[in-house]
Amino acid sequence: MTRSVLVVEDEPNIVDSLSFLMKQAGYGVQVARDGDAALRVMESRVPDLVLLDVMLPRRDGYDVCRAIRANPAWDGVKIIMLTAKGRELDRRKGLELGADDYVTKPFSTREIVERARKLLEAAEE
Amino acid sequence: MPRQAMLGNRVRRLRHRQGLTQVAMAGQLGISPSYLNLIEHNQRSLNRPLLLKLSECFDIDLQAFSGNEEARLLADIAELFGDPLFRDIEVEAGELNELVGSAPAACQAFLTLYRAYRNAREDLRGLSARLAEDPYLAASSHQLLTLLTSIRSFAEILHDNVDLAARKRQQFVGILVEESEKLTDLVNQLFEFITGEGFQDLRGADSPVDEVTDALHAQHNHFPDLEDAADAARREIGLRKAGAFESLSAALAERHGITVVLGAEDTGAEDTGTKPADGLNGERPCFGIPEALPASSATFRVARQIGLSTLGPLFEARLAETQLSTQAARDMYCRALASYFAGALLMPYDEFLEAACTLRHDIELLGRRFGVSFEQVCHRLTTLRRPGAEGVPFHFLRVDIAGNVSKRFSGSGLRIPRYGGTCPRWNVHGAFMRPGRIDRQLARLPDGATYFCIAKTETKPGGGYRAPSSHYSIGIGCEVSFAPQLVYADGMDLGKPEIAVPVGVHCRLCERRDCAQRAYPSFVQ
Repeated sequence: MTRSVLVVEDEPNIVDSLSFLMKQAGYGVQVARDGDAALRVMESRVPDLVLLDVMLPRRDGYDVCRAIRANPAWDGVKIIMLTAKGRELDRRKGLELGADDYVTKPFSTREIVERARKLLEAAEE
Repeated sequence: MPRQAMLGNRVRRLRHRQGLTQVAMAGQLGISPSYLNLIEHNQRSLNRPLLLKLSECFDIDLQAFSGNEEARLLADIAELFGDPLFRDIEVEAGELNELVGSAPAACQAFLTLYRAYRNAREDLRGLSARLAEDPYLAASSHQLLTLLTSIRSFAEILHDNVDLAARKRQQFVGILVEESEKLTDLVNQLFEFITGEGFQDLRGADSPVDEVTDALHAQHNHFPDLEDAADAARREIGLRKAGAFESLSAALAERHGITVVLGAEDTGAEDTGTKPADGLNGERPCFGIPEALPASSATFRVARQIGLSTLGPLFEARLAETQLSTQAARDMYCRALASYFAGALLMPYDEFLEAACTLRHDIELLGRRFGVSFEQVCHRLTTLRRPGAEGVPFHFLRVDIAGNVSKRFSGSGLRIPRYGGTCPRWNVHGAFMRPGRIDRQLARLPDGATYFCIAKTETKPGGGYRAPSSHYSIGIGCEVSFAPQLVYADGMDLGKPEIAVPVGVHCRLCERRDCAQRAYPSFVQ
């Protein structure tokens, strides 16, 4: 069964690159441009992994993370937060709210693919 | 008292310079060696007859010897130790005395270093406040990160996928080019922002003022050559009190080819008109006097312009004595000297000194007699330091409505802090509550020194609704023993210490723990 990834990011070019990378790694990709859209997408189809940007318009990444963890139906969903470099506080906050991992921008494409793969393989076992 | 304490050190150093033993020197002064020993260790004060005897025997300049300079140095050093930076270092007053007395040059170097540190610290604070709060920088850094993220990821995708379909490759390269262009624009904008005016005003703006104040202090705010130049100019111009503006303007036109134009626009800046404007279409240079300016200020500006036009060589010589570090400070110093000249031109030394005595320092009457403003009279009073013909030693300060000190001169011995605000109990601040009225105060410092101070607010006219007026409070005062020479002290029981208002210099240096007006914690043990 194909694993699916939800990319939550408001910058179109970053959405394009993440989508390309995830598809190339063999995953199905869904896209949401803001927090509300992300939760709506999840209502209709639960992804295996969410790549979640922190700096989203209106409802930010932390809020979305909290909402995902508050819903038992989404228990198995993995979350990788995309944070700004050097912001230790952001990182800790994401992990405390229930994110599984974080990647700092500007990220390495190989690294983000590697982390996604690891999380999804761990879920399979 | 610090000043007395300094004297002991000075006597000892004088004796060493002369190569005398205590016995030998005491013999010349007609006192016992043990008494001299007490003086040298600041256990006994040096009274005036003894001071005169000293100056006779050893041919010394009394003014230089009286220790004013060292007292100021000591006060500066003491203030410096009030900085929270030195919180953990306990320094006793005696230790500082000793330090200033034995190594004044090293103390001066220490002060210079501290000032440099202080300026750097302020710059840094301004800078980080700017960086943290600037919405433009915050937005820019987010934008930067976004651009970098997409450029990096597409570059890596292109690198890692050599067999990418041509169309896909073209699309990604297109994104790369576009994002790189955006990045270039953004970086250029940021660069302009950082090197542009936005950052220039973060530089320590108050340091030229401090430097100039120090340079004036070094001359005790008295310049004999400027007095002479003013006397000569007054004779040449044939200056009279009546029609002073007209005759000064005529002199400026005849001698320097500068036409005074009344009704020019005021830019609101205080130094407007200190430099002659270039002539339009090759005409003679013009010197604009704003319409809103009171007659006394207009006259003063023309007088100052004469100083600026004639005293170039004298300014150069005076500048050479100073160590002003910036062009801004040198310009400001020349303006201060030109203003000094203008004051001396309009208020001749001997005549003004005599009038000050007979009118008992009634500043408003003096202003009327010499056709000058309240502030100009106050300033002139601080310059009456000609040896042998000294006036009352006054301190003088000017604060704005936010409490910033823009002019200070501590001729009376009252310490006016260099950094930050002064004691809120000083009447120079309270005067704003009774605008235009003269406020008087007997102020007692924690060490018991008592000063008689008066203050009055002044408004510098603006240019109508869009260029509002500036408001200042002018404070002037003297040691209480001189107060009977001031009309303002009439009816006040100067001998009653309990009527004096307990004040300090600055909260950090003040030991009055019970003061309800305290603004900062004290560092005084």
